[in-house]
Amino acid sequence: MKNFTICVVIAFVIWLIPFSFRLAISFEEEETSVENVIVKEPVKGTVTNIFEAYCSGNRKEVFHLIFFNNLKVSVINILGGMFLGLGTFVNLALNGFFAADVFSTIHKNGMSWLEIVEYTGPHSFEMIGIWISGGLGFYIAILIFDVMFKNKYPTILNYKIILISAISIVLILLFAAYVEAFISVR
Amino acid sequence: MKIKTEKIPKYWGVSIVLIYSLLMTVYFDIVGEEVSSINSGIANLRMYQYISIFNFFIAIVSAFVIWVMSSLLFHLVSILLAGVAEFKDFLKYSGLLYVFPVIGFSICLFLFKSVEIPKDNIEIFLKSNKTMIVIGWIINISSSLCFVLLIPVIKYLYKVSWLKAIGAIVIPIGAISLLGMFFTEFVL
Repeated sequence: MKNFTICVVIAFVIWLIPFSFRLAISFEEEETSVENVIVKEPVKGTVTNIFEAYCSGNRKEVFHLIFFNNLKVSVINILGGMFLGLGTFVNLALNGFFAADVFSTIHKNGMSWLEIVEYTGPHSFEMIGIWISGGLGFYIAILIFDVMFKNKYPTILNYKIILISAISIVLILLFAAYVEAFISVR
Repeated sequence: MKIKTEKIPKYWGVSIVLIYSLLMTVYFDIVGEEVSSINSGIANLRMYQYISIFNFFIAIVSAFVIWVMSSLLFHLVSILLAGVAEFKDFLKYSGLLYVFPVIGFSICLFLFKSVEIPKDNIEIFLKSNKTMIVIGWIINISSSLCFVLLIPVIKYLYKVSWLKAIGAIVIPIGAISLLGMFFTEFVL
């Protein structure tokens, strides 16, 4: 259990570094976000899709989009553990960078930092689910390392930790998406 | 025939994979830079440059991860097919065999210098240009050779039959290819 906790803390730090980095630097001369650089028309970014569903008043669609987007991130984080944690590392780092990029773009368009925190704060606990999934990815990577170099195979406790944390992640994401789609967004 | 693994220095395999990862990353970085600098102005964006640097280091590490994980898969299937050997020993040999892709990518880097990428229709050019086709073949053959030569390594190291040694390579590669096809067709 101690190893798993350490893994979650590491996942949080790996997410936080690019997040802080993106907030610290600005790309004013470019006047664009990562999503605009990488995603070209007619492909729309996730944020755009959620915003459009929100504007059309379709709360179920908002819930669906938020939940499955976060679930996809978490599944990639967990499966990234199979690649010795590299997939988890890349996904967490990019997720942190992109999250800050969205905040930065919103701020550039006129919303104050305080308003952004007030608006996103109540349903930001979905990030806990994403950090736990990152931790789970690293935990799986450690188990694979143990099999490879120590001939030590996973125990029942390891499987229990994986199962319980996976269920917790899904529940956190479900609850966060519900709060975001039906309660906090007005 | 008996393979004496203790005679092979521990870090040879790692060193060869490191050279391979650097050559491979540098090659794809040069190709990417050539294409992006002609194709559009995004190469000049600061954010694109940060992402490029990040990708460069991730590509180096990913070569190591692919080496270790593919070796683990071959090792596990060999054990399933009644082979007996230590994973560390197998890792030494699989690392050494990356010498072929190292040679392959060195030639590719040399050949790519003579390629002049046009401003338009880059995708069609990359598919139809003779030198680029030769480069593609060199990469594929040198990488495949690495896997083919693992068959005798598995046969003698794990003390299994030729058929089982072939199975230890074909089963994981086949399974991954099928999974890839499944995800491409039904999930992505």
